[in-house]
Amino acid sequence: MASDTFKEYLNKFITTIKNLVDQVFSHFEVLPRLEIALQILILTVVFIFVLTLIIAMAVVLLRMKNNRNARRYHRLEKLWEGKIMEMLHNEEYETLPSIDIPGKDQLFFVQYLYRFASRLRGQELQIIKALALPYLPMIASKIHRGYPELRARNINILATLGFPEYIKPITQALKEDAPIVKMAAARILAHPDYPEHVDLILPVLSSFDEWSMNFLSSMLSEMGPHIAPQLREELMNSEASTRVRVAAAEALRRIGDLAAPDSAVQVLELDEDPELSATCLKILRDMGTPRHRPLLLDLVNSPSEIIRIHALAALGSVGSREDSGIFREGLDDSSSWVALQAARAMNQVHSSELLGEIAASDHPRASVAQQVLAEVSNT
Amino acid sequence: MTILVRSLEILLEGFNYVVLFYFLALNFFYLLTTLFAFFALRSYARRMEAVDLQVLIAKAGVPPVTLFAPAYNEEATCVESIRALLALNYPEYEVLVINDGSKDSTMEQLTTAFDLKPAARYKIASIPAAAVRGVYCSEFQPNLWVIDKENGGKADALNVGLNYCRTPLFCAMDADSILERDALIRIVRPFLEDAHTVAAGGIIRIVNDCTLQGGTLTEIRLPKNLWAKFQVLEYLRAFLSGRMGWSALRATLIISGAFGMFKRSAVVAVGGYAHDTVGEDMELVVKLHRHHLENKIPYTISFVPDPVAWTECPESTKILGRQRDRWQRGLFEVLTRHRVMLFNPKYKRIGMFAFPYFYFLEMLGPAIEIPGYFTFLIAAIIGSISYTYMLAFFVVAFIFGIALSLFSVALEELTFRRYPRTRDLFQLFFLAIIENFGYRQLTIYWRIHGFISALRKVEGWGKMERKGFKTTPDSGMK
Repeated sequence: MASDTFKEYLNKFITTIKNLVDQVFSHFEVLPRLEIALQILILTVVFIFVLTLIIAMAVVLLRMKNNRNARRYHRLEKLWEGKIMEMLHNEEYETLPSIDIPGKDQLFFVQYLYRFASRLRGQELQIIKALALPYLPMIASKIHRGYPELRARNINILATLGFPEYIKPITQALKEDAPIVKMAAARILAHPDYPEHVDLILPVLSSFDEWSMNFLSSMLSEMGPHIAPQLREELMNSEASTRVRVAAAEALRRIGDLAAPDSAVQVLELDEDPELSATCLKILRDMGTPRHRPLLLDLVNSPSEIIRIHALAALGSVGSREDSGIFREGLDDSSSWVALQAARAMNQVHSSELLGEIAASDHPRASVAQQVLAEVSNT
Repeated sequence: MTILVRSLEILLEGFNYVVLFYFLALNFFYLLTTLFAFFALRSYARRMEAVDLQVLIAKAGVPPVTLFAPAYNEEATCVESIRALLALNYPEYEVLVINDGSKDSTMEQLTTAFDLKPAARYKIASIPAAAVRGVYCSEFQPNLWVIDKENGGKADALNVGLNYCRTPLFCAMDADSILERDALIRIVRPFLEDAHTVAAGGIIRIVNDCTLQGGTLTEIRLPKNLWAKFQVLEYLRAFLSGRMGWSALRATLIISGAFGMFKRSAVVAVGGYAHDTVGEDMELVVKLHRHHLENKIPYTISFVPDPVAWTECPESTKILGRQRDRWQRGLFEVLTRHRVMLFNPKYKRIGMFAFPYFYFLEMLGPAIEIPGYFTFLIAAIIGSISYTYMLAFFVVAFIFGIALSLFSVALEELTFRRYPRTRDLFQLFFLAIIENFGYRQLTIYWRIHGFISALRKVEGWGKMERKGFKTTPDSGMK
């Protein structure tokens, strides 16, 4: 009975709406041809507006949902934090602790532990990892599905809470197509305790061609001095892309590999790409010896500005007071960066008196000398 | 007489078609950028879930950065702003304040607050700029430098900053803006992930009536002033829908002068900022596009939606009008200067797509829109247009305007949710409706005023007044 009444009301409502729409459109029927376009436009905008209203309502609902979730998460976090802090302060464990988490909260719990773990080391980190352990298979099952960013995030979670246990799925992620997933995996595998991973990372390094050199070289240098032979090999490999070779050279410099200068000299003698040469010169600046001086004397006159800058820096490091004349000439270089480097190099070879004279003179680059002297006095 | 009336009718009818076409084209672009912005923001939010900023800072080898803060008569806000800049979360950066010959006590305030002492600093580049009176460094903040120079305008001040910049990247901003603590690491991310990036813009949000403590915003809320509220909505529309959409279309033509990160060598290569325009921020971006496209150098210019610079907006129609006048003049100067790019296939999507949009719809738009109101009115009076058509047109414009604003509010709520108070959310909805009754018309008036000023070659920035930030009592530092 009630259902019939409802149907009746519904039919009445639909009929009213139909009549209303008919009335509106009957008005437009009398308009000339041009106004048909207008009708379409109005209909489109009405549609968009209705859609917008729906979005607006969805936003309000979303706000309510977010607020509710935030309150719930806040409550859970307080509860977990209390328990975890108690565990971290209890130093005597026969077996590692655990917390039972209901299914719907497990993902959030692991994400919470992930954020928590980034602040911890040693025994405390082990406790957090133990707490996460029962829930990591769920995360591991998600690293090959979903959108790339989510996969990358899950790889990061596994790396923080499940490394090295979950090293296999992370290694497999290196074969992914999505660069962000591949990069997340590479950064994790570039671990100082696993230098053997360099053989997995170097072959995929060229696929990170877009990423900044600092980013790539810092990743490689994280792995420590054990990977130096492979990096030197990559640096010398003329078949490899220039960016990969530059990344290898910069990583060797950061590692402080004492055999790197010999490789750098060989590359410099072949007079290759300026960026590669500049990176090799940085190796000589940091680890070079006076025997590299003749090569550097050639390169301070290179037509490439970047090579002149780094050659002067390296010569400042391995040279002596007898090179002051070269640095003085460098001060007159058309490039301000070269002049600045020449002044710094002059100071490095203990020619600060000469630098002082230039600073006090009407030399066009006197201000360079003044700055370098000020830098020295500040340090 | 009949011929005259008929000619007038034909003229009006013709112009009405122009207005109709303008309306359709403008809203097509708005809709397009909004849709692209939606997908781009969704993708960006996901991406940020996968990025750990602390890991980036600690391990990614982020490059050193110099922050340029040009200051002209900023005594009300400069000390608080600089304190906030010194508290940023970034491993290696310098703050370079360029005092552009302020006539108020900006320099004295900075000297006292930061214990400035004269220091030697060599000029690396030689971009022409006004004379430097002195270079100072803080005694207790070694990464804070102040360059005191003759007045020459904002572009000139930025060029002085460029001349003294010694890091690969620099960040241009306003001295009265507050950067969020993670803003630098967020805006530098595109430079790490794409080695071809030469510029990236951040989002500007309005700080009026928000509370600041020790250089950090502690309470975010909508301003109390109605004009400022309208601007919050406008900024949401401009950045989340507009700039995000254009960035997704890989056609970013504007990076706000209040917050943008640039590759120093690329900017020096194009000769730095132009002195002879008030739109120096846009001019630089257009110039970067031209330089890279003409020389076939791969490059990327992008917009990043979450590094935030909070800035104070005008609260009076007088100051707001001046600001909009200046923006329109800047737009006019830049687009006419680089008109060679217009529909020029050499400049690819910039020349064929973004530039024509800004040229015809943003620059010439007000010159169509205002006369459009009058011709509609005249046409209606003399009976050459149907009332139904006119009414429908205005209803369409009104509804579409609201729809686009609501989309922007929706984008904000779906992504960043910076306004936590629910009443602020409803206020934004309400503002989206009421701004159509007066505020929009006023902005069009200011824009046409700016357009006319540009045609008359009016120069200068117009005086801006700042009331200063709302701070809590313990916000002092040193």
